[in-house]
Amino acid sequence: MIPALAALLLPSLTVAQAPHAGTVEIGAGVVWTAGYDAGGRPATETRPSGAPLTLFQTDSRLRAALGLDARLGVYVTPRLSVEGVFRASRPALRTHLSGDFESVAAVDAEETIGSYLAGGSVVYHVARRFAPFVSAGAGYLRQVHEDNAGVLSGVEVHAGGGILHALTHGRHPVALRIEGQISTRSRSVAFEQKRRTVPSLAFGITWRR
Amino acid sequence: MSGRFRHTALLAAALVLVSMPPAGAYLKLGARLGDRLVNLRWGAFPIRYFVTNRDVAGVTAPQLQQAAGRAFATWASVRDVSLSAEFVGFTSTGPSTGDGMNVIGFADRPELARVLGATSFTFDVVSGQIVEADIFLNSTFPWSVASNGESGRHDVESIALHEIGHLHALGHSALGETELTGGARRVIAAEAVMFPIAFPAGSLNRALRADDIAGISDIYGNDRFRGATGSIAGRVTKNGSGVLGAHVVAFDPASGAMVGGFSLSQDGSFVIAGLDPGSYVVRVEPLDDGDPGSFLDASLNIDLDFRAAFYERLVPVPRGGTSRSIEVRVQSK
Repeated sequence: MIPALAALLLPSLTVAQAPHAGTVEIGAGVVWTAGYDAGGRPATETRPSGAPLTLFQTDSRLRAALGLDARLGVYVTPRLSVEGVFRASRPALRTHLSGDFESVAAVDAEETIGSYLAGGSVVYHVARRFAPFVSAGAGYLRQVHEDNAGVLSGVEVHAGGGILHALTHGRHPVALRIEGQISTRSRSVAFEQKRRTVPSLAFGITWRR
Repeated sequence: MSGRFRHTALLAAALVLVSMPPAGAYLKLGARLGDRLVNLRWGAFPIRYFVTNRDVAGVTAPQLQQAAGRAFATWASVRDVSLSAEFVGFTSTGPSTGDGMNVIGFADRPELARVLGATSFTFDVVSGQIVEADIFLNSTFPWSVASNGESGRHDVESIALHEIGHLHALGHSALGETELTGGARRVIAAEAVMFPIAFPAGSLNRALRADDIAGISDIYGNDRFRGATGSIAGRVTKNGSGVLGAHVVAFDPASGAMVGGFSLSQDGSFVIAGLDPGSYVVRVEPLDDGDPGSFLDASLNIDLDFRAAFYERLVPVPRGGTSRSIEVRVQSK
């Protein structure tokens, strides 16, 4: 739905009033963050020979989720801004349980994760006419298990780009912002720890003053 | 101890139990005295033990002592517990209760045709402190201390490791699968040294598993252990009523560790302690109907009439705390 909406908006992109050094941009919206494979492992017992006997298999995935996106940017030149970003979402960690030794039917067991990302980006506005931009930055990712039973934190690095479409004009224009991003994370909720690359798509409104 | 009533209990065997223990065998050994449950444990270390000065075919008394020493050392190597044992010397005394000595030795027990070994205790029924423990290995069976095992012979160190687990007050684990062949239970696989049915002769089972480590740590773990691990608590129910004697397994998909516990009361409540923090899969199954008395007091009305089931949520275990109480609903077979 979001790509379709973006396509509809593209032909009508208009130019907002040019920002200058010191212009502040405030934005809020929703962000869709893709899921990822969270690891798989069999539950095993040991045979007398030392070989494993599988009791059941687990395959886990952190599911894609919609969340909130808030940002505050400051232009340091008409084309370059720095912004702080905060994102929050509640993805489900889902484990598929199958292949039970005693033929228990396959089921999915879930847990809801609170996922919070605070970071910063440098944004370069490529050409003002179509208002596209590219961005890159880093953040601190904090993921919390249900009942605050555990916290996992790590660093993420991201890069992406998008477009700003002015909805109003004047001194304090309001714009629609669509941004795609790739984030690579040193640690994230999973049963197998490794660096993961997670795409996201944010859709929101910005207000400039 | 003087002036206090003493109670002895014969507990545990590496093969199927023949004689029923008067005390219930739990993850932690305990004795039910009236309405009171007394958990057993040693109050002081090192545990000073003797070895019966008797050889059997293939194993000398010094070899038995060396194997027992390695088994004690394996238990003592568990992180965040402070176990120790000290070999005092050889003795002509057999491993029998009431002499004030902890004795490990071979004994002729042909009447226990399916028991490789057993541990017996004398303990203070007020404090639960163990004052004497004895382990016999049944000389009716062929034994070996070969480092890689020996075909047709049972490994002394493997069986000693199991019995010394009992000696430290651990009960049986149900983390294992068996099949009935020729009227006897044969183990297909196990994930605990404390599983009550031994691997076949010629096999080795000398390494502690997560379940053994959680169990011994639950009894003797220090503050660091208590602060670093957590537990899962909940109930197993069927048609709204508690299930007694259900085997509850917590599996950590991150590490592969499996730790088991039992629902030990009429309301079906259970606690599995000693878990590393993380999200766990919980699976519930009935005890092996071939011999539920190997795990729990045979006089209990253990419910075996339900199907194995997974809990439909992952259970997050906090560091140093207990999960929210969960209810695992099972259905009749």
